Amino acid sequence: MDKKTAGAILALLLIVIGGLRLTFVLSEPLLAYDGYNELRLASHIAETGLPLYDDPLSYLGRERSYSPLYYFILAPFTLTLDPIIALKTLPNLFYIITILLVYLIAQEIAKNRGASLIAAALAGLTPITFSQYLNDASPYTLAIPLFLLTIYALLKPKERLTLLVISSVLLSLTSPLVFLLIGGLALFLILGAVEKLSLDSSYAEVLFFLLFFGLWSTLIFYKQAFLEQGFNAVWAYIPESVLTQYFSEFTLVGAVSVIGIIPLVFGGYTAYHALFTRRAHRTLLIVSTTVATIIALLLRVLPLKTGMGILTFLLCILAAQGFAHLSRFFKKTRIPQIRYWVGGTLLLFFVFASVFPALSQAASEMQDTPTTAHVSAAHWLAQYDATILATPHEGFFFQYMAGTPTLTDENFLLVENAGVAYEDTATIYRTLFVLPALELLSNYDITHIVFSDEAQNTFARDELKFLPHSCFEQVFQQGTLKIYEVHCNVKTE
Amino acid sequence: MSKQNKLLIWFLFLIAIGLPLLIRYLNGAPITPLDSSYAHVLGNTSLYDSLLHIFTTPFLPLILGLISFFLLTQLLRGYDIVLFTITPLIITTFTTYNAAALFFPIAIGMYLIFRTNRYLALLAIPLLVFTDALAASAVVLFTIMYAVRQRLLLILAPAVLAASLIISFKSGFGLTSLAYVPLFGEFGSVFGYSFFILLLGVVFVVQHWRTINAAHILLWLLAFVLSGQLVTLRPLVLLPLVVYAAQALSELEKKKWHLSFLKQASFLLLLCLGVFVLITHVKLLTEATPQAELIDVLAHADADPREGAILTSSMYEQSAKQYSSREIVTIDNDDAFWDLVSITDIRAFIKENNIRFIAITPDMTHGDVWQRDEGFRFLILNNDKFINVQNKDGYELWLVLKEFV
Repeated sequence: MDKKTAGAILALLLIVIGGLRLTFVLSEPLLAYDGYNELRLASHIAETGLPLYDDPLSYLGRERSYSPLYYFILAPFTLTLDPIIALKTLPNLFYIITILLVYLIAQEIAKNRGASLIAAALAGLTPITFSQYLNDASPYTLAIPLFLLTIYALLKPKERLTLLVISSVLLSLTSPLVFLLIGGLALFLILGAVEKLSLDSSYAEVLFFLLFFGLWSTLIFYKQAFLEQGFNAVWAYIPESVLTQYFSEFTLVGAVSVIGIIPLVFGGYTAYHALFTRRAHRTLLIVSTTVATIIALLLRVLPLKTGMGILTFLLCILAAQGFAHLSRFFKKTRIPQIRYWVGGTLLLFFVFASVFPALSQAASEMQDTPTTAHVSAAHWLAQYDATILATPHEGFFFQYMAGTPTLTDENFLLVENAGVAYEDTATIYRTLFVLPALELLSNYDITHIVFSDEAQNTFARDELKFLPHSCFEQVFQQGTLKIYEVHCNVKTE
Repeated sequence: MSKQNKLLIWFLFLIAIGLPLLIRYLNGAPITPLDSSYAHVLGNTSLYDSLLHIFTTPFLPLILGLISFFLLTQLLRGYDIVLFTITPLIITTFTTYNAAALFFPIAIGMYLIFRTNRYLALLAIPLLVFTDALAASAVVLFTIMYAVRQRLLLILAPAVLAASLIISFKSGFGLTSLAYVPLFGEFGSVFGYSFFILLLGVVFVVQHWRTINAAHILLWLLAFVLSGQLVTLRPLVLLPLVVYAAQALSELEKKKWHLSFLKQASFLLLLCLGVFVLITHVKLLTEATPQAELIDVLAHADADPREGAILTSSMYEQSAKQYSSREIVTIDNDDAFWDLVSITDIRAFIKENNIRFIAITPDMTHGDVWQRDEGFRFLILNNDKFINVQNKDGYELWLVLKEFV
C-alpha cells in the first residue's frame, strides 16, 4: 500500500471514529458525573488563574493534590466556548490523536502500512478504547496520547530528542502515567542486559532523565499527599470498600472481552516472537511497556479501566507486527490470495466482536450522566446556603452546578476521613432508623439530602426508610429525584 | 577538595541544620522539634541522656552535628558529603534530641581510629553500648561479618533475604512490619532516608552489577532492613548509600552521554530534587510538635490555682511533661477511651487520675484521634461538666468541673 492511500485511509478512519465519538457526546447536553470535577478545576483556573488546591466544597472542605497542566490547557476554552461544549469536544479531539499515534508506532515496528492501519482501526474501535473517556473529560484523554507520543519518540531517541523531552515533560505535568513508561524502559534495559542485546546507551540516559523528572514532578504536585499519607498516596488513598468495588469487575474473561480477541491473539503472538525469537529492540520496548502495565494493574496502582485501555493500545500496536507476519506467510503460500479471504473473515469478526459491542457500550456509557431533574435540583439548591448529602458519584456535579459543599465525591486523595465519610453516607441512605441518620447529619451539619435514582442504585434502597419524620421536609421533587431539608440537629449546644 | 568547596559544604550543613532551629525560635516555639526529643531530657537511660543533663542546651545536637561533620570530612569529600547533608535523616538527627546524634560521631571516630590503632578503637565500643546497646550490637556484628567472614555472608544470603522479606511484610516478635515503618523523608518520615538518593544508589549498583561485591550489597540490605527498627543505626546505614549514590553521580558526570542535553537536564533536576527535599524537610521540622500554642495551653493550665492533672494524647506526652509542672496523663490515639460518649464510662478514669484539664490540639481533632466531633470530643463539646477555658488556633484547654470529679 502506498503512502498516499494509507494516509487517506488513516484520515478517513480518524474522521469516522472522531465523528462517531462526537456524535455520541454531543447528543447528550450534559457531561458525565465525573466530568464536572474536570470542569470545575478548569473553570477555577479560568476565573482565578490558579489551580484549585484548597477546595471548600469537596468533602465539606479539603486540600487537593493533582497535576494541573491539563486544566491549564482547558481553561482558556471554557472562557471562549460554552464550558460544557469545550469539555466535550477538546478531550475527544486529544483522544483521537491516540489512533494516529498507534498507527505511527505500529508502522515503525511492523513496517507494513496495511497492518498498521488495521492496528489503528482496532485501537479506535475496541469496546474499551471507544467507550471510555467519551463524556467525562478525563485528564487521561491528554495523558494517553502524550504517553504514546513519548513511546513514539523513544523508538528513535537520538533523532527525536526534542519531541521526547517535550512529550515526556508534558506527560509528567499531566499525569503520573510517566512511571509506567519508566517501568517499561527499566524492564527493557533489564531484558537487554539479561539477553546480552547491544542496546543503545541513550535508552539508559532517557530512563535516568525520566526517572528523576517523574519523581520531581510527582513530589511537587503530590507533596502534601505523600507527606500525610506516605506511600499509600500511590493508591490514591481509595477506601478499602471502594477499592474492592473498583477491582471486583476484573476477571480474565472480562479482560478478554474488553480488550478484544484479535489484539490479544496477535499482540500476544508478537510479544512471544519478540521475546524468544526475533528480539527486535523496538518491539521489545513495547512488550516491556505492556508488561509494566500488567504489573501496575496487578498492583492496583493504575485505575482498572485506564490500565485496560492502555493495554489495549499497546496490544494493538504489537498486533500490527502479527498481521504483517501473517500477511507475509500467506504471500509465501501457493494461494497468496487467501490472505484477502482471511483478512475479510477477520474484518467481519472484528465488526461483530468489537465494533458493535463498542457502539453499544458507548451508548450505555452515555447513560452515566445527570438527568434534567438533577439540573433542576442543582439550580434549586444553588439558591440556598446548603450543605448537601448526595451519592459520591453525584458529588462533583452538585459542587459545580449548585456551588454547594457535599459530604463525599470520588476523589479520595488527601481526604483524612474518606472511608468514614463514605461509610456514613451509606449508613444515612440505608438506615431504617431516624436517630443514627440524624446524628450523622448533625455531625456534618448537612442541611439537605438528595435522593435520586443514582442513590437508589448505589445503596439498593427505593426510599429513605426512616421517612416520613417531622425532622425532614420534602422541599423539592422532579420525577424520582427528591430533596429533603433537615430541620433537626441532635447536637445540644 | 578546594578550600572554597569546603567552605561551601560547611555553609550548606549549617544552613540545613540551623534553619529549622532558627525558624522555630523566631516562631516562638520550643527550639528543639519532636515530642520524642523530650523523652531524653526527662529520662536518664543512656549516655546521651546523661550528656543532655550535663549540657542542657538545645544546641547540643547541633554541636554533635558539627563534630560528626568534621569527622566525616576526613572520610568523604565530594558529592557524597553534599548528599549526606541534605538527607532528611541527618537534618533531624542533628536538630532533635536523639541517641543517633551521639552514636554516629562515636562510630565514625571509632572507624577513624581503627585505621591507625585497632586496639584503641575497641575502647569506643563501651561508649556505643552505653548510647544504644542494640545498635551497638548490630555495629559489632556487622563489623565482624564484614571484616572476618565476607564469604559467610554469601552462604547466608538466602537466609538473610528471607529474613529481610519476612521483617518487611510481617509484623511479629515485637517488631513492626517495614511496610508500616516510614523510611523515606519524601514520604513523610522524620527520620527518613532520601528516596532519590536511594535511586541514585540503585543506579550505581545497576551500573556495576557484574563487578560489585554481592556481600557488600547483602550486608547493606540487611542493615537497611534492621534500621527500620533501629533508628539510631540509620545515619551509619546512610553512609554507604551516599557513597554509592555519589559514585553514580560522579561517573555519570564524567561519562560522555549520547544525548548531552539530557545530561545537563538530569543534573539540573537532581539539584532541584535536592533543594526540594531539603526545604520540605526543614518545613516539616519547623511545623513539628511542640508548637508555641501547646506551650501556651500548658502554661494556662499551670497558672490555674485548681489542682489536678492534664489529660492529652500520647503524641504530646514528653513535651507536655517538659513544659508543665502538672502531672500529665496521656492516652494513645487509638485507645477506646477517646470513643467513649457516656459520662458514667469516663467518670472513674477522670477521678482515679485526678484529671482537671484536657488539652486538645488541631491534630487530635483533624484525624489523629477523631475524624469529626465524635466520641469523647462530642461529649466534652456537649456537656456542661466541661468548660472550654482556652482556644487558640485550634489548641484547646478544657476544665473538668469539680462537681463532676
